[in-house]
Amino acid sequence: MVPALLTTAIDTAGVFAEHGAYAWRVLRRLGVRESDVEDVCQEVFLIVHRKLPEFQGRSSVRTWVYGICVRAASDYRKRASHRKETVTDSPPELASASDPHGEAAGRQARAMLDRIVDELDEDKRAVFVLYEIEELTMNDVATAVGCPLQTAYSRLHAARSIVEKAAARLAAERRAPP
Amino acid sequence: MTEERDPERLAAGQQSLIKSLIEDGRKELPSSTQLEALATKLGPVLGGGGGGPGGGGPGAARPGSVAASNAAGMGLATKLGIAALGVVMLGTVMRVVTASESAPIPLAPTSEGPTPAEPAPASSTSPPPDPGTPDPAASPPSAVAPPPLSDSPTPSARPSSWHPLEGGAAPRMPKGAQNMAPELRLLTEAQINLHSDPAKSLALCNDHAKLYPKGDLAQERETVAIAALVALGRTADAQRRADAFKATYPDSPNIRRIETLLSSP
Repeated sequence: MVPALLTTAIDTAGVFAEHGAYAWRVLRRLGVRESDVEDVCQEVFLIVHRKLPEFQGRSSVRTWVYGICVRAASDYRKRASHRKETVTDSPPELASASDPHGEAAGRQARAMLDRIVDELDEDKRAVFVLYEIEELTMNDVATAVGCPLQTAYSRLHAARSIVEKAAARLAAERRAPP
Repeated sequence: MTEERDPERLAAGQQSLIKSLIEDGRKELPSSTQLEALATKLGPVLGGGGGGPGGGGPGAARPGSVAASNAAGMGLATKLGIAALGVVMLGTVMRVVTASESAPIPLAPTSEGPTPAEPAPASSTSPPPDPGTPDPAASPPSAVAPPPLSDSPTPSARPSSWHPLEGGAAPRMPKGAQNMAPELRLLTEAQINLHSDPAKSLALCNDHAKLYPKGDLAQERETVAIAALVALGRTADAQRRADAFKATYPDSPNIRRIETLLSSP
């Protein structure tokens, strides 16, 4: 007979192995600063560990973990707001010839993406990130954020409108002469 | 994955700034070092044993954090022992992963079905010490150095021959828990590579299957392997592996994910 606590530990390790990297990524896109993401991700997997025995399998594990990430990111932003901190990262370095692998360019692109999704409120941002970046189905998105499916569609529609405008503005800035 | 009613994703549309930014956003996955640091913090949770890291060390719960209420389970000394051991084991498995990246990894036959999870042995029988009493034998994970690298680690080395604990702290945990961290490390590497290099991800999964044929993470390994096969367009192999998985783990919560993977266009 496997002790319940050991079973839980094994399962938590499995969830971490399969979803840890993606939880990290989704937390970043949900506005968790690079310097804080390790701590918030730790919180997520401690919740996973605590709640796993109650997990009924009504959604996929991935959807369930993402739902925890959404709530952890929301709590994080509230804490950061309470501390009157700005939840943004330092500006990325400029790309240069000394960066042959384009890492700086990638960081710039992600900083631009963050600027765009920063324009969304928390609810729309979660739906946009989970659907457009993490590629969950809308059913799973609705489950993860805890809203009716039609509400999720509505948030996605509104988010896209805001994102497209923000992207157009950024594109115009890039085209403008310095 | 997209369901019938779902709109086309922006990244699937015509080339645009937002399309390329989303694609870049998907590439931001943590490095091995970052994941290792996180796994170290989570050591007691991932390395075997219940409860959270409420006992202290780098993974200790901050007051008021979610971990504060997660103290049920093993005692402080056991928690810290597992955390410390986790670092040792992670260091060890890094050698295996590095070796597997630098040497060709023979792929397991795709017709090979998943192996059933190794039955976990009973937990330690020693009573947990008083959580309020520090255990001098337990040191924080960060204070434990990984074992020296051997000259020629090979990916085919069995974990039972590594003896990462030789000369170190005496293990006070179940055998299954001792083997968790290296398994975890290798499988995490496979997961990280799933989208950027599914062939490498599959190779790591098959390497995992050779190293841990009855490992505790066999179900997760098979799920990642099936996802890699789908990504490589080897749907028949993916289906075969999925059928074997379902036969071996008929009640697994991963079956739903596998079915979604197989039904994706």
